[in-house]
Amino acid sequence: MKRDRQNQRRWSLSRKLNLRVLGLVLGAWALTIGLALFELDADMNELFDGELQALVETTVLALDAQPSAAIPRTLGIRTGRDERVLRILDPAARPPAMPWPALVGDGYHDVPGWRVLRREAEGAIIEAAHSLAWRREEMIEAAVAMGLAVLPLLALLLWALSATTRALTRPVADLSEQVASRSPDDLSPVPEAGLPDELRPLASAFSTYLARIATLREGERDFAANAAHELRTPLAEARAYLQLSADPDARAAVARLDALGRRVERLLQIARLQGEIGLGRGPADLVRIVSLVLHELRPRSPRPIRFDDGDRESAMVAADPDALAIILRNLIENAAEHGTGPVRIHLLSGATLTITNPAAPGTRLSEHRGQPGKGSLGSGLGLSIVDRLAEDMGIDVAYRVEGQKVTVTLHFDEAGDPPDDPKDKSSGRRVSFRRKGKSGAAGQD
Amino acid sequence: MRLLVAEDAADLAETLLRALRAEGHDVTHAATALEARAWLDAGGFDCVVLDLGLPDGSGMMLLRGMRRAGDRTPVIIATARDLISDRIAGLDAGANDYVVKPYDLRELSARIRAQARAAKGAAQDHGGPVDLGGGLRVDREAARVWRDGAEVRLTAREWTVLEALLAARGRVMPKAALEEALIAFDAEIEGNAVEVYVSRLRAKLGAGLIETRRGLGYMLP
Repeated sequence: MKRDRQNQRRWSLSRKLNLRVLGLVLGAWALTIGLALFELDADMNELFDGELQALVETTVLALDAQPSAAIPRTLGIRTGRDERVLRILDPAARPPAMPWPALVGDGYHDVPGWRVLRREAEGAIIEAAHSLAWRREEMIEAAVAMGLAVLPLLALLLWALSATTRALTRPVADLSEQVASRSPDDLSPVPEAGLPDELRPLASAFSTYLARIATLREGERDFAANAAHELRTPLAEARAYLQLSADPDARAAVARLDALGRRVERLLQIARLQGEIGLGRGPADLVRIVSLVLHELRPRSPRPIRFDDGDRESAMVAADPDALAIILRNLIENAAEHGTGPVRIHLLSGATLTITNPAAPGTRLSEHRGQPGKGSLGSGLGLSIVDRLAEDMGIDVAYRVEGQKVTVTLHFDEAGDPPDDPKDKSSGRRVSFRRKGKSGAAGQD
Repeated sequence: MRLLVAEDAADLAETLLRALRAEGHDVTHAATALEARAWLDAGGFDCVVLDLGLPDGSGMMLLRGMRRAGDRTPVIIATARDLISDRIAGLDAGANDYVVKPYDLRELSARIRAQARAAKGAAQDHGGPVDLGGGLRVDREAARVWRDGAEVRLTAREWTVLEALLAARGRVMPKAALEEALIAFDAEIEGNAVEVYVSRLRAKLGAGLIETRRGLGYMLP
């Protein structure tokens, strides 16, 4: 469970790469800065000690040149702050305890708050000292100056790192975008030109997978086309034979044969559904498709069918023409069969189509899918197929009963509109065509 | 009428021929595209019933060949191919009508009569449905209009006005009657709706198509 959650957590390759490389670089940089500061501290202390040495030696020379110079005396090189102090003492006198206690022996001495160089020469004790606080302050100033010099370099590093990561991961982003933006029915190979060696096997494997899907889809479509020929031709033969028969019983069987024909049509529709007919995005001219479907349905429709094209010559929608025709045929047949009066089809502004029919009182739409309505000649699968195709094509279908009027409203994406995110179509892709569905609208009773 | 039925399913062809002959037609049967081509070259048919899946070639190629050669004989495709894209391809290739198997023999017969009738009415103009003059042809059955050979798309309202005028061709159609026809689309129509659609029809089909009889209405001469 936890592993599943971890797998589902979103993360970005370039962000992770940026963070990790940045972390490593900053860590290495911090270590380098630490070592540099350590070295700087040692060098500066050496420099300061050298200054003390020079001061003491200069003082010795001065005492040598002026033996009458007053001893003892104390000079604060920076008066008032006592950061750097020169003390010339009489060896015979008792040395003062401030600012540092008496020292024994020449050389450098580290006493609380001070670094002192003591030297006895020319009848005097010369002590030159630096305040440790002053030395620390100088050290911090030097470190800050170094840091300030490094900051622009650090910013430059961050920018360069981010730009490099973006450039290096661009092929991944491009490939990802190219795959994601494909229309659902685009099974063409993924172009490998310009891809790095690491991504080529992925693109190649993906293309192979797409080719296999294309072959399967082609096979399913061929099967549907062949099945249509193999099933419809003998049905046509049988129907023509029965229709011409002098036997009234044989002629009466024509209606049963027509019902069989409709079941065959539904099965062919399902076969085409399995062949992903609904993944195409056309475009299709809604006005022309409705007109053609009506030209086919009107002669055998039990009800008059009127089409108001909204005074438009065409309305291009992003839908596969064949799948669209199946949806319209099933809905119009359903309305004509179960309605009690003329079927009216209206093309509204945008790309919205309504199919309306008067219905008997008490008509309900919450019948089970996959079950024929009362007295229906159909298989009850028509609306299940409509729902599935509409889902595939991103068409909103709404069924509504108002009084004694049933309206089905279809909202299409106009051609040119971006299709819905194909990734979102993965959910609920399969609809089973069992005889007893679970819920939803169905044939009108 | 002299008909050619290009159909490779022997039983279906036999029954179809029997039905059409029973209606008094002179029917010739071709079981292959080659045979059909030969019969068509001989000419003289009023209508062709064409199956697309012929054993030696596609009926669609046969149809395209006919139209390329200027043969305007009405063709009704009768096929098991039921997809709308097949229907569009067939009509775009020059078929006059399209029926899907299994079809009703009476419906097919009615469509054959309609096509043959339309072709006869336009015989002097090399085929196509009813000739309106000025390069215009109209197929009232299929609600299609051509101007100088190119199909003109009409909206349902435009077609309704044109069809009402066609039904009363040669007579003045009162504006109120045309408004009555348009009311089928909208419960309330604008006062100038008829003028709007007549104007649109003139723009699409030619300025001289519809005559205005001031104070009386409109007329298709």
